[in-house]
Amino acid sequence: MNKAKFLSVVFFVILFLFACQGPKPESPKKFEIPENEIEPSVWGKNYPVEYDLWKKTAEPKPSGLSRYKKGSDLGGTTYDKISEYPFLAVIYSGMAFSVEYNEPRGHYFMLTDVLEIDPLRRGAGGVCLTCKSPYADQLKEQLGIDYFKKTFDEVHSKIPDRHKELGVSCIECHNPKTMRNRITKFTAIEAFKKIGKDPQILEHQELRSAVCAQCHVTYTIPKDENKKSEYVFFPWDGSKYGDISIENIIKVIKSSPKYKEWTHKTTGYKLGFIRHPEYELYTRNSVHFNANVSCADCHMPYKRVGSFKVSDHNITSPLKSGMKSCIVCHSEGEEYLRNQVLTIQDRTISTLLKAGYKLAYVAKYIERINGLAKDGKEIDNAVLAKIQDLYEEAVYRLIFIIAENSVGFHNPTETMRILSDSIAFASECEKLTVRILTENNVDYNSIKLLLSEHLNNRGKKKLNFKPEQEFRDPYNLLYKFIPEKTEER
Amino acid sequence: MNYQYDNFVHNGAHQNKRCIDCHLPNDNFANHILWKSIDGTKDVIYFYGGLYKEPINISDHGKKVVKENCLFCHSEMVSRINTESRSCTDCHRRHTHKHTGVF
Repeated sequence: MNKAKFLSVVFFVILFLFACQGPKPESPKKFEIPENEIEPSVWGKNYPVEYDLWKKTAEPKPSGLSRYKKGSDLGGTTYDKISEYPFLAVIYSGMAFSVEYNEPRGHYFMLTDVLEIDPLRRGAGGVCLTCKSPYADQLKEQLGIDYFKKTFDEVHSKIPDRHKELGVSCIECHNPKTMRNRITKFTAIEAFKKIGKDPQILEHQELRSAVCAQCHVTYTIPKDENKKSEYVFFPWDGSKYGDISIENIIKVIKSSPKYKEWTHKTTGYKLGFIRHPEYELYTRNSVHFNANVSCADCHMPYKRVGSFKVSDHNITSPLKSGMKSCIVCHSEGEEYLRNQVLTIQDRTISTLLKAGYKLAYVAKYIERINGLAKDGKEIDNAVLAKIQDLYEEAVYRLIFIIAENSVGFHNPTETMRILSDSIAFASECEKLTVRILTENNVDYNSIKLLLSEHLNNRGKKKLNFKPEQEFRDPYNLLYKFIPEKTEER
Repeated sequence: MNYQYDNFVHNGAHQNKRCIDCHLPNDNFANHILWKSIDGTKDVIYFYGGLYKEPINISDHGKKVVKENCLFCHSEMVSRINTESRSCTDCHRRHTHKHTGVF
């Protein structure tokens, strides 16, 4: 064989090997998205499918599929959390949450909902925009401490007119050059460093949850002497990645009087607050987190569009999207899976209601004890301090689960642990309060929650109790302890 | 591999595929032949030497090969999503031998 023949054979063999690898399909890129582009429709030119799906978050979801989270359901009803959980009117008394507190309607309405709610709820000031607007980081740079301190309306007025109602948008989760997920919020960047994770080098699967953790977490707003907001941070100090416990969160809240954001009217206690801790609850050894499932896997499942798949940017509960994200891994049918989820939620609600009413009654007992002290009765201060501590421990745990948006599903066993701890602290507190009341010849059975006073004629809109929205104990055990009729409690 | 084979022949999807379509690299011929000889020799030694334990489990290299083969055929389907961090069967469990078929 001569040299030329040999070389040509080698050439064809090499050509053959490479020719088999066809060109890899890539998404069509029309132009470079500018680094700080906030307008979603500009991103939509490159990613029309994802953009159209994102716009669908404005559409109501089919009704009747979720039992306890109906905020985005078809029909336009506003679901009032105070009517759903009437004891909240006592637990949150003296705070804006007891005035108007609605189930959220979904991402598209996140800023609109804030603008439409009772103005008391915007009391914290510009700081609220940290999660509600993509302009938050810009405004913080621009205004410095004033961003937190100034009134909500003042800071909100600095957002350009066309984006006055724009909620979460592309830039908050994506890098415009590569479309990779990234963390942009200053609160989350600081918080991830606290739990020993560099927010710049998270793995892809970690990022698919971390982008949600920019907002779906609990946060604390430190207050100055004039009750003005100073900053906002996630109380994750002392916790680790995958292990952010309610115990550590409570430790942080108790560590400084600055973190006591509100005064509870019924008991007179200065308390901290806990908000929607979805990320904290989910990542604490839940079965799905440990199986490497991210938030996006369930709430933004991959969806076939023509010949390819995209992440479904129409973010919603799997209950409202045919359990499609569950079926990918669990091949049991839709009905079976729905029943599993609803059973977990039923059990959570049953325990939650018992924990809530127990603590609401305890709050009323404390109110009565405060009245006795005012009337000059001598009550041991050490016992009073103990009562306050027990109440605080119980109430943070209760709020943790009420504010969490999955009704227990994100981590059923941890939910039950937290609720039973709440009941345990409340029982201990109840023991001490009832003893003091009995010593002073007050019949604790005569103390009522007087819910109708708390539930009606609330705030600027004069909101009233909506009895049809109240959650009943699915196992009917609650009514062995308290009257079945709300107004008799 | 009786268990795996029994499940495979009762499988719904991928019935017209052969073992090597998933379990050997198919990106190019040379790579295919290379791993065919390595894995084949290994299988002979392990099988006749009785050096394996039931149930057999896939190796890290084996997982990588299977994932590449999933992506090789379904490249267009996954062209717009990021596939870097997990193997396909983490979610699509019904396509693993353990979860498929009737055994």
